[in-house]
Amino acid sequence: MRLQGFGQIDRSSPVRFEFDGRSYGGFAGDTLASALLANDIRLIGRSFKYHRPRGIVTAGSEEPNALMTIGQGAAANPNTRATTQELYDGLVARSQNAWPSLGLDVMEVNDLLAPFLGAGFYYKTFMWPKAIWEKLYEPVIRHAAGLGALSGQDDGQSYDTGFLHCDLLVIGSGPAGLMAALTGARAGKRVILAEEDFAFGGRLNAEAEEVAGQPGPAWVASVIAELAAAPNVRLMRRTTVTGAYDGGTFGALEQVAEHLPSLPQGAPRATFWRIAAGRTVLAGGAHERMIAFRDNDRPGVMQASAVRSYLHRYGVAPGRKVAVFTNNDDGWRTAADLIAAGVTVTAVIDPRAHTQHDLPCRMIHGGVVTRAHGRLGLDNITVRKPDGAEIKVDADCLAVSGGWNPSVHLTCHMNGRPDWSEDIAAFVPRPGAVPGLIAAGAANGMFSTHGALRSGAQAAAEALDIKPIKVPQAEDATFEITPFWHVEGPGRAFLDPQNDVSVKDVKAAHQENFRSVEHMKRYTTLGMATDQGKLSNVGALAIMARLTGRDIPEVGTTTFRPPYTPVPIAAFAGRAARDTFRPHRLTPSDALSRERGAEFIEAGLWHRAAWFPQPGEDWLAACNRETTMVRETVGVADVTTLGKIDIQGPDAAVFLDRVYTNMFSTLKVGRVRYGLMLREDGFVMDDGTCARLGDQHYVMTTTTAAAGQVMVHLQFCQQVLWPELDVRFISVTDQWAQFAVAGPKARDLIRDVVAEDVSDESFPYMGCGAVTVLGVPGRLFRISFSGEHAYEVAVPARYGDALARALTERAEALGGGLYGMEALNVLRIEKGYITHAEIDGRVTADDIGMGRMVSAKKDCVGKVMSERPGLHGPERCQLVGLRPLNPDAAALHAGAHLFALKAEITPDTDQGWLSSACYSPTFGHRIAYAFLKNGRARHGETVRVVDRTKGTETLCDVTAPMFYDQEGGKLRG
Amino acid sequence: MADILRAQSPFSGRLPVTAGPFKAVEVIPGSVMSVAPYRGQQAAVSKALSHHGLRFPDAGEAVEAAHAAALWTGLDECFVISDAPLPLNLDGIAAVTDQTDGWGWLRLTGAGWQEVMARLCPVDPALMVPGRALRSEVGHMMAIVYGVTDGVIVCVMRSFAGTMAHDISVALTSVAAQKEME
Repeated sequence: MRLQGFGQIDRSSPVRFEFDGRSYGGFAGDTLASALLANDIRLIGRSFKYHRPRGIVTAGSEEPNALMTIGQGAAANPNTRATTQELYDGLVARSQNAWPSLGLDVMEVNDLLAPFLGAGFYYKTFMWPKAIWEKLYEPVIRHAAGLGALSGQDDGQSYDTGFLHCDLLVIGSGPAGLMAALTGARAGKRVILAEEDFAFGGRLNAEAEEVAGQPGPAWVASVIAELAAAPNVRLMRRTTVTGAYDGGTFGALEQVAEHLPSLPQGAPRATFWRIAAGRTVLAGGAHERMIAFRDNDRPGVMQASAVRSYLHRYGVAPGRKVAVFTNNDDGWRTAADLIAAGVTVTAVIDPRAHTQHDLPCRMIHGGVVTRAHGRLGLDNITVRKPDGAEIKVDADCLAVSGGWNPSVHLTCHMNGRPDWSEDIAAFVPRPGAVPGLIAAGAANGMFSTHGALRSGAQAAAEALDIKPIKVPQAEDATFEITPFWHVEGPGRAFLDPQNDVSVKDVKAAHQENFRSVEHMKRYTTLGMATDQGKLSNVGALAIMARLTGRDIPEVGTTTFRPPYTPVPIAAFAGRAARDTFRPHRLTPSDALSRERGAEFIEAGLWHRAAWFPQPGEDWLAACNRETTMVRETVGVADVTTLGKIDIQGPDAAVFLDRVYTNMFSTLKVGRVRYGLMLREDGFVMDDGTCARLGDQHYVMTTTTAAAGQVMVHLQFCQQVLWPELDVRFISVTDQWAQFAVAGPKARDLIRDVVAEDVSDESFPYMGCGAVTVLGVPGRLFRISFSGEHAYEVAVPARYGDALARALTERAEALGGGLYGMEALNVLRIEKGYITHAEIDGRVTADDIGMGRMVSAKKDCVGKVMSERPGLHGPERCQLVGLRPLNPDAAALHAGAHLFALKAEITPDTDQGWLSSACYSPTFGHRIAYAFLKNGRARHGETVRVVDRTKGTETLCDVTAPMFYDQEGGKLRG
Repeated sequence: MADILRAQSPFSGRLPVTAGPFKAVEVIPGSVMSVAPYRGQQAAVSKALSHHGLRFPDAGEAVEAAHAAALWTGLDECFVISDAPLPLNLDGIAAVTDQTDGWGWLRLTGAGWQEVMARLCPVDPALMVPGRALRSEVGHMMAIVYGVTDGVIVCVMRSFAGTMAHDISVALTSVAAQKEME
């Protein structure tokens, strides 16, 4: 019911919205919850497990019941709290977890079965028969339980991530937060004020209070105006600080567009910020807690403070006849405010026999509410008077106050535990629990407005080591409470309405000896729903304390973990989603490759052309053609992606001798050598060629994917292992566009583009040097990864695209052309060259037949460790080639395993695995590399290749791991 | 061998991008050389660089002259950028490599450009001022970030130019759209 003369809503801006298919009206400045209550909608959802009818309990982010799906289609947002969702014109909300409708939900049968469905029910009931769990029980339970559902589609929307920095982060903009922000701002500090609500002010918007002689909201507006004018202050409303992390870093979710009917072009739906704060003041306020009694979850039972919020902020009376149940002064305040607003208060029930309060309504001192009545909405309550007599009191709304819990959550994110304060019967933050963070105001148990103002100013002054500013006048009443948690009696009294956990369940946990608070939580699922038990935790602890004869601090709390409120996973990802999940590195020939219709493959971050299909070709046909082309004429491939590390310095040669297994100090200038690198543990790390360009100047190449790893390794070696070596290195990978030119006609092509003589005398196999490439200074290396006469030619990257085109054009004139990664892979398997398919981190130099490359004349990284027993010898799986007995065999794939001819197929009889396999157009059948136990001694033997993933078995001959041109004549010729 | 190879810049066809007050344009330095002094040679390198009004920068520092700058880029390493190739004369005292083609440079300007950088880079934009050269990540790419009077210059390895142009475009569009919403 809307009340005239109350609230800060904009009555000149009416909006229409839809709830469960029906249209309603509200105003700008409403939340969905306040608008629903204004339309007398009390039933807003069904509970998680028992499908009990539920209503709005709170007016903030701690709301356990009013979870809605907002919007339609792919972008619909499930589990949105109606109490924080701003109303906008055209908003469409749907209730969750009810079928066929909210009023008539067939799954409510669960509620009748409640005696059988308590905590522990699943663990005990669905244990057997075991096989049925996955097929039947789990799907049925998952279907019956639950909250909202995602659409399962890409929402097509964007989220941002970002980074912010400040001297002082203030979390919450109630009286304490505003004073903290003002203190920092006036001292010229960089301040961020984060407020989860869409309005600054916290409870000052929800109470009839004055600050500095002005109404609360007016004082808030004046402070915000001052802060907004300060260039050193960033005001962030709709921003929830969700987690506290190391080094003064906080996570914060800023809702950018959830209050708008549609996402403005280019804008994100939300931004997930990482805030690096010098100091932090936590002024996140407190949550009012409920009192447990029978059927206390009926729609219409609310926090007393929420009733005041709806009254003062939104001009809504949540009921026409309101009763109040309170164990502290807060409930009395609610009753007084309602009466002042002309709302009927049918009774105030306070379990404390002696209070000073006197209001013009029925007052039941020393009484308790024993039961709520009304299934789909509260009709009346049963009250037990001090004399034991029970009476019924009319009420369509019951405002409950069981005291306040400071929102200590963030202070516990770094494993801190809160302290129990007897004065307010609640946990308060332990000072220093999060380094650099000071709690203030209600978040620190300071419940009066003046106290909050004062404590906010003090906290900021202390945090920044400056003087506090003057604190304005405001209400400064003391807070009095007598702890009261639960009204004993039959039936279910709910503690955690979001997960349907009642006092009975906590008792069951106790009975089953799940008495540790962490065990109790997991046994009952209390506090494990999306609200993280903001309303329920302390109440349950109190029950467990009483059952175990301990006090609450002795029982302790469970661990509060980030995020404070739910964060969409998409917001963590930000723009790093879909195709831009990670950066793309593009080769100099990228545009040409795309023009030629190439398919691409990712290697690390690089996107490399995999094959260049011609009309009618599938990948295999293209790959076969490209392979044969290189073997018969000439092919061009972009090899820019290989890591290129420029190494210079007086000790460059010594340095390389130590990182490679073989010698590089003996390499002549103008020559290239193949090198192998080991990790510290003796296993192979990477391989590649290294060219000596000058006496103290080398260029190392690494594999594409391991370039970063090798660079890190070199840095480690230089900075940590041998700081005495005078050597410098830097990546030049992107500086040079480099192309492989391979095939019998490679020299013809190279002659056409390189000004210098490239005869065998000037550029023998493994020669290198500076050349002029089509007028541009470049480099030429006579190296091969295909087994053919081949070169790699490099030019500064600005000429990469042009050179790729020039080379391709010339290759095509010679009957050749571009080849991609697939053909490159076939060529290298035919020739017997390895990649990281072979050196996968588990193999030694000896395994791949390169044991002799570990020089005996010098030491190198990994050498000693590679000599450990078990890293060489016949028990190792060694690299071999495999040739199928039947040349038509199609089932030879990497990942298959090897077995002896008559062996049983078990893990024990496994003799190795296939690392690489391909169809070889050169030989007309498939070939493969494998690691076979004692493989080098078994050439000529026949083994079984068993591929369990494909269900195939193939007999293969074991061969040397090189099929093509074993003499190497083609390389050198 | 009649044809001459045509040069292409890293951001060619990808920049400029603009939205609201923001603009990202490509900057093409005439020369970028990495300079890594050998052990004990920093003073000698500074002396050699002084002929161009430069010296070897401290960590995080950018030393600027009229047509050149020395940007700190890492341990014992800086980039000397200049409008045209400079005779550095560092033989024997520093390792020098040509990096002119290895990196793409863009300049982001427009009132509130700091908000754009806040979406991409974990470093406080307040530190992106003339005289500072920072190494950090920008949009998940390793970058050199270098403050100029009216904005910031971001430099990434050439192969990342496509993603960098995309990311800066998305970020400045996003911030511009949010400014519109205010």
